[in-house]
Amino acid sequence: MAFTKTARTLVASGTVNAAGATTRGTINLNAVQGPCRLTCAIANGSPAPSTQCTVRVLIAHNSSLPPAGSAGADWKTLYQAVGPGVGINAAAGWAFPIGREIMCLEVEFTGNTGQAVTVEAYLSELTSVS
Amino acid sequence: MTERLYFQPNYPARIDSSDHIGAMARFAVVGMRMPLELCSRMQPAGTIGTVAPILLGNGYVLPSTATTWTYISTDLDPYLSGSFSVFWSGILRSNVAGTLLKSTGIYGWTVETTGWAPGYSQIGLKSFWGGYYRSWLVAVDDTAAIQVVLCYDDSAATAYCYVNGAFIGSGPFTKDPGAIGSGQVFGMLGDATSPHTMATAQAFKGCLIADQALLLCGNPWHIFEPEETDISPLPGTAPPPSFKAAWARNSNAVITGAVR
Repeated sequence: MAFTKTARTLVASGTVNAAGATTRGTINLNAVQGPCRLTCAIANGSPAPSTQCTVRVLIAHNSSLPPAGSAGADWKTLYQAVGPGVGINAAAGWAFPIGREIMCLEVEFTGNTGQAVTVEAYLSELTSVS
Repeated sequence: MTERLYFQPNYPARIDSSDHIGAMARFAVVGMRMPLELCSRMQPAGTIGTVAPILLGNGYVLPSTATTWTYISTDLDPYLSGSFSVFWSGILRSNVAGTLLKSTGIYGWTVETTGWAPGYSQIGLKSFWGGYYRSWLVAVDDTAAIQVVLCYDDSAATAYCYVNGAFIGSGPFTKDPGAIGSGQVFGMLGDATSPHTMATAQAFKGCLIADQALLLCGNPWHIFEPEETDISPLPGTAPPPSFKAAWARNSNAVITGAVR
């Protein structure tokens, strides 16, 4: 068996999510065998935000990738929002299993107020097995 | 496809409600920074503890003032719903006070430890308003993981204690005389200098039976949805013989393998 694996970037390392802003990344997995593993990370700075930034993982039941957006008609929550809290320089990371049935995937970083935070999201994709 | 999750999830895992124990779960947190309550999806409040690596994965070091989750679960109110159970897994420090889990308003209950002597801890169930306390003395290794199950059987007004799957004892317990009410808050806290470290804390509607307590002690992640691990080729692609053999071995391991 030969595995073809691909590293995918949804939100690049070092991306700054400004206070009150939302950062999203999407990817179309319709042609991907899977399963995949998504890692997300959030790092506060100093001073820390007054409300934490959280990351939510969403999916779309679409054969083509819809525009990025919050949970609604296209995007549905797969994993509930988690965050690192509001500690100075607090950082946290999570590793989400992404099943082979997933068609489209989105990550959404949002919620921080007062200060910007640094976010990232990457996917290890099992593209195919032959 | 595995049948159960066998390691600590580093993400907000879903409760497997098709499982006989998962279906009873009404509160579940896993050791991570800002532990999300996985039944209510409630973010923690109060004092947030730190995270430290332990044998079971990430351990949530209980702060000396409570981490709290505020939501109503009448299924965990013995006055309204009767029996309930609590499962706690982590590093228990000996001879210190701590609250492993509490559900309180005006009335309620706490699962707590109290000091006894070095190398020992009293683990008990306490009614919040009435102060009725049923406890068991347990030998504790400050460096080893421990699994504690406390059950309250309302029909018998009796509490049961299991540690690492072994039945420790039972005794009469008197619940508080009123409902916890709209001020229901779940919480946990530890000693200021020797805090307990939580890998997971879970609470269930109903009184777990011994076999269910044993399952949880054998695999603290039993109630969570398993992850997909099958990477078999796409339909129509015949796997090579070596793959078939590996699949057969793995399948057998899933069915008969030891729980870790």
